[in-house]
Amino acid sequence: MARRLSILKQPIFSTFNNHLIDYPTPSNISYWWSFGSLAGLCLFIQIITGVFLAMHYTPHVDLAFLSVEHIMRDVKGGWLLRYMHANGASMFFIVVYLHIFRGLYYGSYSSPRELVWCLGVVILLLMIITAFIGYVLPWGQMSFWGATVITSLASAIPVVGDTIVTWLWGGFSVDNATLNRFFSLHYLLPFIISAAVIIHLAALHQYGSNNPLGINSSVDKIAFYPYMYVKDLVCWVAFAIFFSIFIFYAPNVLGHPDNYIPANPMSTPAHIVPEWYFLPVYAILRSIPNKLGGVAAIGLVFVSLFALPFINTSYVRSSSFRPIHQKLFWLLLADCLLLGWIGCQPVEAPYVTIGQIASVGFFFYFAITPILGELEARLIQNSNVCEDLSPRKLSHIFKNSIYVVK
Amino acid sequence: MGKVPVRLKEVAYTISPYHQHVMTGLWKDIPYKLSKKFHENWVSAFTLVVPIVGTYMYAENYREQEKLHHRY
Repeated sequence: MARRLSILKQPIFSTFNNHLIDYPTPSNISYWWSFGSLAGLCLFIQIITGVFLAMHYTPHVDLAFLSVEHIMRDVKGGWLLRYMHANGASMFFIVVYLHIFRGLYYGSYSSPRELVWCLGVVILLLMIITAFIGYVLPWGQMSFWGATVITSLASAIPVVGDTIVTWLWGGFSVDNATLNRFFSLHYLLPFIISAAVIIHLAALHQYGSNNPLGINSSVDKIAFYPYMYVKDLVCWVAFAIFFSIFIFYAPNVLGHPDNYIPANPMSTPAHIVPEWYFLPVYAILRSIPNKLGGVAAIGLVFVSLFALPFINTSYVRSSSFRPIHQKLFWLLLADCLLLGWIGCQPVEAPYVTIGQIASVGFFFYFAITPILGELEARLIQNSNVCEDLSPRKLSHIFKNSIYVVK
Repeated sequence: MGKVPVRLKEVAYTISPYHQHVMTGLWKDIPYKLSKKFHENWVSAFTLVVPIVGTYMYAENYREQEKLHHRY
């Protein structure tokens, strides 16, 4: 009787219990799996600090910059709120990028978790939009010119491009209407991200988490509470230390000094550089001399990410057992870091050529993915280990068995 | 009807039958463990670092050559 009346068995509470307390987790997941919960923590920090910042911020071109200075100087703890929010965005992207690369390394995108991956890409897209429009709000030089350059990209779309840009701006230049709508959307989008995160989690819990071996872990699972809580807590403390170093010792190191100059439409900065987390995509955009081609390349980045689970033909998930993919993965990471570096360099030799080669390298990873799985399957079949096995049987062994064929 | 206290040993056992000795020798044979990690991962580390360092050095050298070219 007492068990039946348990609060954890009541509606709503039972949902929390099933997903946050009793949720069966693979026993062998490593600290790399903590970046999901860390991303949730980052989102929470961003929403809380953002709500309090919005109480003191004024979305008007004459007052926006001054209201940010007012927050920094006059509002009690305002400097902390603002530095937490500004650096929190960077932390959010660090955590999410590590989360994505973990998924790539361990094949977390592959069947049956395609939906989890696609929802993750949607969240990344929403994050990028939110971060971009949030960077416009302080109304500094980089805010204004960054907004001008990036929104102008829509003008590359044939026929309707200019109309879209005017519609985005709410006028014929980046002005008060633009700032107002960006503020409104910057407040709205995090809640849409939160909803997408809940769906992302629901989709994940349908089949359960992947694990470093990439095999079915049904036989060896443990409850989320207390084991994963403790494991995640270790990462949260480490993250808090890392985050605090930026907030208290280097709060402006990830920003651009020009954003401490009020926006001036009559004076263009020498170099317009986006925030560091946009640099790899920005480098791909710049590596194509044609404006429409650059915009199409950015679109192709996200199409490639969306398509990844569907073009993957590998029977093995984890790169620990995929020696060729493992090397390609590290090359992709090196490529992305190089693109990030190129994104903040001036458009001149040799950076242009390096950027173009790195952009080709980025897409090469996705282009070779369908072939790679077939190649790996052939290597396994030719290795005298399991020559009698058909590809379908191999797939079954690697995805459903707890033992790896030796 | 409160919860029946569970003995620590039983709790430890429920973690996983495969991971019973994870923490017991964390610092034991650390030089061996580090060298094993290095031997297992040096190719991956090489694949990550060499393209970055190589490209950076190439770019720096290119700029230096260009500067010298304009100088003389």
